[in-house]
Amino acid sequence: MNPETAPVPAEQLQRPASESYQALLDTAASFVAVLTPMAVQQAFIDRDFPATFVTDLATLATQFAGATGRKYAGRQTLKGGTLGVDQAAEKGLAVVKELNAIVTKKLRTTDPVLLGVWKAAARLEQPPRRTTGEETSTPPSPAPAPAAG
Amino acid sequence: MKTTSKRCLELLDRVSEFFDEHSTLTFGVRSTALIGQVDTIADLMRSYGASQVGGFGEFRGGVAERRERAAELLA
Repeated sequence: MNPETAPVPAEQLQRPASESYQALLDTAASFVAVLTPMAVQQAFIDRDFPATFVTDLATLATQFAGATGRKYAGRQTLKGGTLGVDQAAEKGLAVVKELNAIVTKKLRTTDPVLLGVWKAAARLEQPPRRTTGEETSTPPSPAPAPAAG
Repeated sequence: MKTTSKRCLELLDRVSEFFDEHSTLTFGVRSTALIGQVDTIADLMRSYGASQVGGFGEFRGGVAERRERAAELLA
C-alpha cells in the first residue's frame, strides 16, 4: 500500500456483500472508524471529498439507527394497542353479561317494554352469515296461474 | 381495530346510552359499579385503538425513513 496514493487499504472500504440493513449499518460504522483519523480524512478531502464527509456518514448511520428504533417502537405500540383492545373488549362483554342478568330480572316484572329496549341495546351484533344455498339459489318462479274457465 | 372489537365498542356505547336515557332506574351496589365501568372500558378501548393507529403510523414512518437513509448510505 502506498500512503501517497491509498491512505487506507481499499479492502477496508468495500461495500457489503449482503444487502441486509444490518450489514449496511455495520459497514457504515466500520467506514467511520477507518476514516476518522485526520490524516486519512485529509487524504480524501484532498481528493475533492466534502470536508464533513465522515461526520455526514456518521450522521446518516445514526439517523438510520434512529429510524430502526422508531420502526420497532411503532410495532410494539401497535401490538400493545391490539392486545389492549382485545382485553378491554373481553372485559366489556363480561360486564354487559353480568349487567344483562341483573337488568333482565329487574325489568321483566316492572317494565317489559323497557326490557325489550334493553335487550336490543345489550345485544352483540353478529356478522351476517350466508348459507351456501343462498349464494347460488335463485328466487323460485311464480306458479302458473290456473287457467280461467 | 377488528370488526369484533368495533361491535363490542358499539355495544358498550349503546349500553351506556341506555342508562343515560333511563337515569330514573335504580339499581343495587353491584349494578351501579358495573354501569360505571361501561364508560371506562369504552374509553380504554378507544385509547388502545388510537395506540394501534399511532403505532402503525410510527412503524410505517420508521420503515420509510430506513429505506431513504439506506439509499443515501449506499449512494
